[in-house]
Amino acid sequence: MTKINSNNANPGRPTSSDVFFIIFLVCVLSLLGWLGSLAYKEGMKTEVTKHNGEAWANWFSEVSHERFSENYPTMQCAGISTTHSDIHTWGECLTFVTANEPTLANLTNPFSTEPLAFVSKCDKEDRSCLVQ
Amino acid sequence: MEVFENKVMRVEDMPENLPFRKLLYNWLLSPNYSDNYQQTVDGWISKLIVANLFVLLFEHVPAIYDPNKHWFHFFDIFSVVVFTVEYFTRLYLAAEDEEFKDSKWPYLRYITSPFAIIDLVSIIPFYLQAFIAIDLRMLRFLRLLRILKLFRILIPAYKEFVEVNRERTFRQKIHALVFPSMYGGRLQGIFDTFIVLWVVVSVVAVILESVFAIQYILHIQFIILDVMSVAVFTTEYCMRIYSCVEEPGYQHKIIGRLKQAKTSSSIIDVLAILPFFLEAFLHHLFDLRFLRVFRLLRLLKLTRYTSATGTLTRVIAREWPVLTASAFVMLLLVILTASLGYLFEHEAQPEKFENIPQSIYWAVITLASVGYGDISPITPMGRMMTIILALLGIGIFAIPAALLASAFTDQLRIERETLQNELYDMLADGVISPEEADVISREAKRLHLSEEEVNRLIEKARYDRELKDDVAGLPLHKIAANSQHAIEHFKSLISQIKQLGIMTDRESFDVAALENARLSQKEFALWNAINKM
Repeated sequence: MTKINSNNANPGRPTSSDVFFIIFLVCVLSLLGWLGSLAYKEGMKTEVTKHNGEAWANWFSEVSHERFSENYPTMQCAGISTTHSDIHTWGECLTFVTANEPTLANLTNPFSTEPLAFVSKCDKEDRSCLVQ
Repeated sequence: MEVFENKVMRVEDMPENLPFRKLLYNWLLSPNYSDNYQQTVDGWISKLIVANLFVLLFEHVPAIYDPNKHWFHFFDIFSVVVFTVEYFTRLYLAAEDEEFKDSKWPYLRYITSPFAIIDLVSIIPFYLQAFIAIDLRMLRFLRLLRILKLFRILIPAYKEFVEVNRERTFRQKIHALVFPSMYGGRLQGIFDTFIVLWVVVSVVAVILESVFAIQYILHIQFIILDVMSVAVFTTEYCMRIYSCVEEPGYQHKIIGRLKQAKTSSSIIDVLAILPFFLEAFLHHLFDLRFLRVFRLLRLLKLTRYTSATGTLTRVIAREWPVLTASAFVMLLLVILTASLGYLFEHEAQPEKFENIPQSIYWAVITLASVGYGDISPITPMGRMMTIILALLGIGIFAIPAALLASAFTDQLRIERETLQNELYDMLADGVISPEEADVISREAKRLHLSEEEVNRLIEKARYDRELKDDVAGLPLHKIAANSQHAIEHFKSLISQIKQLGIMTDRESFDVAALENARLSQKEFALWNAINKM
């Protein structure tokens, strides 16, 4: 064992170096907390994306049961239980489905935390398509 | 003399006619007996509490909880049974506990004590839910309170630490907490255990994170765990660098700390946390996800808590010349085998024995007896050569392993003999001071010696010392009365004569001895015989 270096001039009060160390430690832990929160936010993007994907996969599984049966009538918007005469396009059908299905209505964009917005095309060069 | 002097009595010293309650208390809970089950009971209860904490965390992951609901329930029942038995046992033995026995109502005093309330809170929700519908989240929160049971061990350790370090500075207290010393007490042991636990948990997390199925379910949990691990290790590193100036040889504020930072254990501490910071600050510039696997270097932090790596390093340093020679012979054999393999097999298998460097791979795999089978000889000469060299290789490649094993055992023996010699020197004044006891305790821990073995070594050293000292002071007839003393005295006299022969001028002595027959022929012959020994 090592002999301890005794310097007990004033053991009760913390010295300036002690205070500096404590402040330094608090700063380091604060930095870690901040980095941890950034890592958590990045991780939550993955989690939200996973949740979105699982919700769509579950919905597709549920509504696809009848599609392979005989005499299955092709409908304008096959993803809904009843026909709607005002739905004529894929976009309108998608909007109706995402608005009325509980599991799909609450999905959010992992990057902006806003509700999902579907666009006509994904073009990295044309950012305007991101705004619907 | 007892080196480990925390307790005064031993269980074997317990009177035989004690009442059952007193006997049970002494066996299970009394802090006054050195070898009872108190520490064992506390240790296992602590492990169960930590296990409960981990189980509670896993219950929040539906993918893990839902398929294994019954196992979680069984574990909860098991924990409640153990904690219930513990609670009622402590309640029954409260009348013997020194804290409560002097009270007018010891049982009531125990029931209203903080630790008993915590123990009760840890089990009562389980029983209450049979009668009252408790929300699952509330139930889990109440089960989380079981972690407070650890304060039964932490608070006494903390109080002991504060008492021992009362007159010491803040930096000295930090030093006592992170470095082994006589001022650390149980709290320093708990701190080391805490760090070891985090190392194991974080390394297991890194390993499990590589499994896609687990990483998919526990992605966020792994991130949180990694951040917490880095926080713990960073705090530990800062505390070590700050307080290292209390160690002899590291007193200078800057040079001492730089010296500490250059030690192997400090470098390992930095490597344990570096991947996190590098990825956090540089992920915009480079894809540093490959650094995550280097978090496994945290496992090297465990080398601080075992002397095995230090012993292995000393062994390798001591046997380096022999190891180098055996490595040279292995290299010759590998090149010879590879060359012959290429010579015999190249025409038959040009794609496998394409060149000598490629054949070296086959040679090493064959000589080391691994034999993957991806490359194997097909010609008769190649196979015959392989048979001869493979048999030769078994012996040659086994030499380093045998060398290291033998040297390792030898090194341990040397270190134990060194401790024996140190004990002998320590007993020169007849007593073992607290500093010396601390040295002995540390060395015993390093050499994995039990308390009995250390006490046996101390007794042997004391016996040898007393034997030597006794012989020097006793009159001759008393020395002659004890054959052991007589042998020691005889050896001592022989040693003195030999020393005299070395220190004196032999030529003058021989002349003076034979002149006027100062020494008889027999005496002179004996003198020469002793000096030739």
